[in-house]
Formats: sequence, C-alpha cells, structure tokens
Amino acid sequence: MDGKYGGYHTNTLNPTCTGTSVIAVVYDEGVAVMSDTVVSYGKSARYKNVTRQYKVNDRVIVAFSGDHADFHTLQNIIERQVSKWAVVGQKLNPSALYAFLTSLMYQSRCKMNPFWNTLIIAGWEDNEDGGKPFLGHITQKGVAFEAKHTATGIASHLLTQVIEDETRDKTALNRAKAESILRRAVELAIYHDCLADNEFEIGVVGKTEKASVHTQKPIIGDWSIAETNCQYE
Amino acid sequence: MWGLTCREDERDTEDALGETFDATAIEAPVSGQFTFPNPPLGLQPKGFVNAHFGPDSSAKSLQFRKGTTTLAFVYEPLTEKDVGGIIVAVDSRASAGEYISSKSVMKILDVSEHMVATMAGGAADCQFWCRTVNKYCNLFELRERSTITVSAASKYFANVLYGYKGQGLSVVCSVGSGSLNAYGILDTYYKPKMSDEEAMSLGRRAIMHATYRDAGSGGVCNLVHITPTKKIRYPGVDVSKLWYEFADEIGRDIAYNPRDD
Amino acid sequence: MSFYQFALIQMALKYDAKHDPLGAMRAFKTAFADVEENPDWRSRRLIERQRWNPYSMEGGSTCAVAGDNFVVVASDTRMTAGEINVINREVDKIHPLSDNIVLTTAGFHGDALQMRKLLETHLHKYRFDYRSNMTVDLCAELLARNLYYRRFFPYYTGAILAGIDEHGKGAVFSYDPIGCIERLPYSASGAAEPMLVPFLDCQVGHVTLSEGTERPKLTLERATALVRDAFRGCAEREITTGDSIHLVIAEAGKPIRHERRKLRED
Repeated sequence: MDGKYGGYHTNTLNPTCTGTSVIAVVYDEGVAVMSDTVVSYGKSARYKNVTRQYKVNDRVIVAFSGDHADFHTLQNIIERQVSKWAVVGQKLNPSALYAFLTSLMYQSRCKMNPFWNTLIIAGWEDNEDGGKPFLGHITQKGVAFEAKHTATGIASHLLTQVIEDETRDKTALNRAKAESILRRAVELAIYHDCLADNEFEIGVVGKTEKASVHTQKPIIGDWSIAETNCQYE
Repeated sequence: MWGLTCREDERDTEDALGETFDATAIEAPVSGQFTFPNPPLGLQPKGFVNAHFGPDSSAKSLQFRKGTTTLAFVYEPLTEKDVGGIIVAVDSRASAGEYISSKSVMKILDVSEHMVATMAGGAADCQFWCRTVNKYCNLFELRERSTITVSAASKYFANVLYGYKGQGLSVVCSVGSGSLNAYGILDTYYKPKMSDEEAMSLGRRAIMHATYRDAGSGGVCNLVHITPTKKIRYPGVDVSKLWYEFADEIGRDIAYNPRDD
Repeated sequence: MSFYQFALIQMALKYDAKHDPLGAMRAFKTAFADVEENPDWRSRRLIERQRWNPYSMEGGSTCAVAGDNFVVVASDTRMTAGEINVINREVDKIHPLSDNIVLTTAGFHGDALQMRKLLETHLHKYRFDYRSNMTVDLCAELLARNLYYRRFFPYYTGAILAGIDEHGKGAVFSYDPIGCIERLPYSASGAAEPMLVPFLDCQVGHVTLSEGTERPKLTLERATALVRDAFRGCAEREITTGDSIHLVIAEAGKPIRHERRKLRED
C-alpha cells in the first residue's frame, strides 16, 4: 500500500484473538484477580491454557481482557519500564505502573491507534503505614479509576452488582472469602458468557503474599436447570 | 528482508509519550510556531468536530456555545450637547444546542483602547481570536508609537482567520441569527443625526425586538458607546424590562388583547 | 489521477457545461466535495479507523456555587459505561489543584484526567518559576487557552474551575468544551446541567422568584444545603447521576474541606 496514511497499520480495530472478562476483588490484606485461560478466535475457543495475567514483579499483577496481540506489545513496554526502574535500583510499584499505563492508553487513543485492551492492575502499595492494596482499571480510551472491586468485558454488565452485593457493607474480606466470591463469579460467567471458560486462574498479591498466579480446579457448575427448559431436547 | 528487522514502532519509544506531553504542557506555545493539533489519520477537522460535537452527535450538554444578535451603527450628534459616535449593542444569550448555557455572556470584547468587537457565532472562537487581535494591536502600538487603525486591525483579523478557512471556525462580527429583525428596527428608526439618548434607545430597541423574535437571542442588552475620545460601557438591561418600557411608549397594553370581531 | 481531474470527469459525464452552466457548477461542487471527503489514498482500513470513536461518555454532573468568601464545589461519584452500566460508585470528579483552586469535570473521563495532569504541571512550573501560587483568575485563563488549543480535536469535557480569588472572594468559571470562558456566581455541567441550573437560578440567583418573596443571603451553610438538595433532585431524575455526592468546600484562609453524602444508588 502507498499513499499518505495508508502505508502500514498498527492498530487493532478488529481484534482477532481475544480474552473475555477479568474480575478482581480487594480483600483486607491484598487483591485477588480472576481470569479464565482461554483465548478465543471469534466465537471459537482457539487457544487453551493461556494465561491472561502478567506478573510484573512480586508487588504487581496486570491482567487484561481484549486483544491478545496488543497485550503482548504492552508486556514488552511494561518490561522495559521495569528495567528502567531497575537501573536506579527501584521496584515498580502498582500506582506508578497504573499512571504510566493510563498515559500510554490515552496517548494511543489520541492517535486513534488504540490498544484493544482493558487492563486491571492489582498490587500491594508499600508506604509508611504498612501499605495498602491497590486495584486500578484502565480502558482502551484512557479512562482510569481505582476501585474496591472491578470487572471488565461482559462481566462488568453481568457480575459487577453480584460482586458488589457480596463485598460491600461487610467486615473486611479475607483471602479465602475473596477467592470464593471469584469462583462464584466464574460459575455465573460460564452460564452466561459464551466466550468464558471453566478453566481459570486466580492471581493474588498481598501484604504477606508475593504476587503469584495459581491455576484453579475447573468449575463444572450445575446444569440441571437445562432439563426444565422447554426448548431443551 | 522480512523478519530480519524489527521496525521500531512509535509505541515502543516512550520518548514519544514524553514529547507530546512536553510540547503542550510545559512550555507556553510560541506564537508563529504553534499549530493547532488536528485530529489524527488526516481527518478533516470540520467533519470530525461536527460528528462528535454537532447537533446530531451524542454530546447533549457538551455542544459548543454559540452567540447570536449583535449590531452597531454610526450616528452624528444632533445638538451641541451630544457627542455622536458609534453605538454597539448586543444581547447576552449563549446557547449550546437548544439549551441556554449562559444568559449573561459579555459579547462586546475589547480589542484595543478605542475598539471593540462583538461576538456572534462560536463563542470560544470569538473570545480566542479577539484576544489574538488584541495582542497584535497592543504590540503594534508599542512598536509604531501610534494607535492602530480599525481597518488595519480588521484586515489582520481577516488574514488570520483566512488561514483556518474551511476548518469550521465560526466568527462573525456585527451580525448573527437575530440580525434580520434588528435590521428591520434599525432601518425604520435610524436617522443620520441623533441625540445620544435617542441613539442608545434605538440600539436597545433593535436588540430587544431581535430577542423577542429570535429564540436564539435573549438575556440582557449590553451597550457600548464609542465617542471620538473614549469608550463608555453601559450596564446590561434586561430585555424583558425593555419590552415594558417600549410598550408604555406607544401606549400599548402589554397583555395579549384580542379585539372584538 | 488528481482530485481535480476526477471531479472534472464526473462533471463532464453528467452535464453539458455549455447549455446548463449552473447544473454543471453544482455537479462540480458535489463531485469535488465528495473527492475531498474520500481521497484516493483512503484505504478501506483507514476509513474504518477513522470511524472509530475516540470519545466515550462517563456521565455524571458537577456544579459550583460561589459566595462572598467561600466556594462550594459538588459532584456525584457515579461512573457509567455507555450511559447505562454503572461501573464504579466512588470516582472522584473533583480535583483540588492547589489550596485555592479546584477543577471539576464531567464528560469523557480520559480527557478529564489529561486536563488535570496538564493543569497540575502548569501550576507546578509556575510555583517553580515565580515562587508563588497561581491565582484562580490566571489558572482560569490558562485552562481556557489550553482547551482552545485543542480546537480541532477537542476535549470532551464540561469543565468548571472554582476557587478563591486574590480578594478572598469565591470565583466560579464555566467553560464549554473548546474554552469559551465566563465568570459566574454559580454554574453546573454534565448530564444533569439542564436540571441543576434552573434550581440554582431560582435559589441562588433569585431570578424566578416573584416580587416580595424573601431572598435569603447566601451563606456557606445555605450553599451546601442547596447543592445537596440539587443533587438529590438530579439523582431522582437523571440516570447517570447518583450514588453519592462529593462536596469540596474552599473558604478564604482555610484549607480545603471534603464532605461526602449518600445519594440514591438506583
């Protein structure tokens, strides 16, 4: 191709291989992030056992939904940022990475060349009073906010309220409770989201736990209701 | 050869991130070197802005403010006591779509000591470019040690705006959507020689009638009287009050009064 | 083939310029506009990219009321995606920039964040250069210019800048997306602007009260109470406003105070 703007393209307006929802919850001493491990090509479950969570260092996890190729690019950029910080003997903390990625996403949307990703940054923010959990959400257009719990993709429509009901107005969650909420979320997701999978992993980063991503036992769910569906044969 | 080189993408260099931010954020733009950033991908600014901020866009309360009726006329003094000069009168409504986003806009903008510009069309465009002309006039006076003529200033204004031709700027001086109504009144009552009172009341009358007939105009009527020596600003008068005054004058009842058939 | 040639051919095909010069001119203009809109280097992929909407709307409303020696800034804290789905209930849309300047925005949150960052940088540089804090008037003009610099790729925000000016008086500046600036006693922006402003017109501006009605003086207590009432009303009737109200109160000679109240969450 030739011409003024037609030389090459760098954007992803047609995401090909995509990941669906990511859900994250803050608990008393950390953050738990759930994502399933399938990468879809259109409606087909093209690649299985692909992690969608990127452990930046033992303080930060970045999880994504959206285009898989774009996320690889983002991983490279994040990696470079980590080594930049390492040069001055610093470890990248979650809020710094969050601010950096917000600028990056906003800048590429200003060039109308967006990263087709919604990012969730989970981490433990060290400070003088012992630190606090950090959970940030960035959309492809550079809209960013911090939250106590958040979800991307179809789960933001489907599950945000469910998670909110589980988490709000209660005494602080602990890790086990947070993970059980996420498991419940996976179950609901596989009922309603045709791109979701029952094989999933939960990333955890907290005051005492270093960032780590654990593969979970697949959830089968209860499909007995299908029998009562009149259209079912 | 394919695969052997890895093209350095604009995304890969974080300097690009710094650059765009520095350029607009740290230093104030140098005049003459500054260009307005256009939408990317060679999109036409006018079409782009219209698509996202125009009347058909989803931006309901985020449309640009627009102004409407403004007028000005020259008159000669009738008696010894009067000074004559120019009357500039405007309304004060700024509408964003169908919503009146401000009812107290000052539409007479200072250009220099003895010059004003009135704004109709895009309010932000007028404010910004009048400031630019204002700056030019001030610099001119400092450099040339004489005041700039009105025609020189307006020539400069026209030249600057011509540079942005076709990009959707909307600056109109001394007209607007209510101008037809105002012209009607002006042409009926205008005399080359008038007393100052007469002239001012004519200006207000024209604006008042324009605001009544044009939904895009309203609010208060601001007025400036430019005499050969100075510029006098008069406080705004609510057009609804003006209506009662003028109705009194012609002895007409203000209420709707259907006559018997 | 150049645009001109292309347009000329189009014209020649349709009209005989000799017998119908007006029609020919019209055809030429249409063809030319069409070519300008769709030049030959516009590939299919580029057209698709150009149609991508770089803006999104996060909803919500903000307002500000100025008094003799105070200014009250308020906003709701709801963030919505596509005006329907509530994605967060605790977002701060009010950004205190210094001890006497508060920025508040509604509209596209990405632009709002960028605008805040831009102003913070400018304020920081000003402090560095002049060893004093910027006054709210200066900052207001600065914001107006910066909004206008993006005239052809505008920020999708309704901004309000509020603060205490150098005489200790409350100041509210209201903007349109491209920086038409006006100093007002009170202002609102965002989705519920057409609901907030008439209420404030009545209660603060007293423009719709009949003669002889009591017109109480605007105290800080009255201003905060009015603003709270205004937002309760909006939460009842506007879909993207709700959850909680975030009040920021700046008083002359006092540090900025924050206050949060619950609103409807449905």
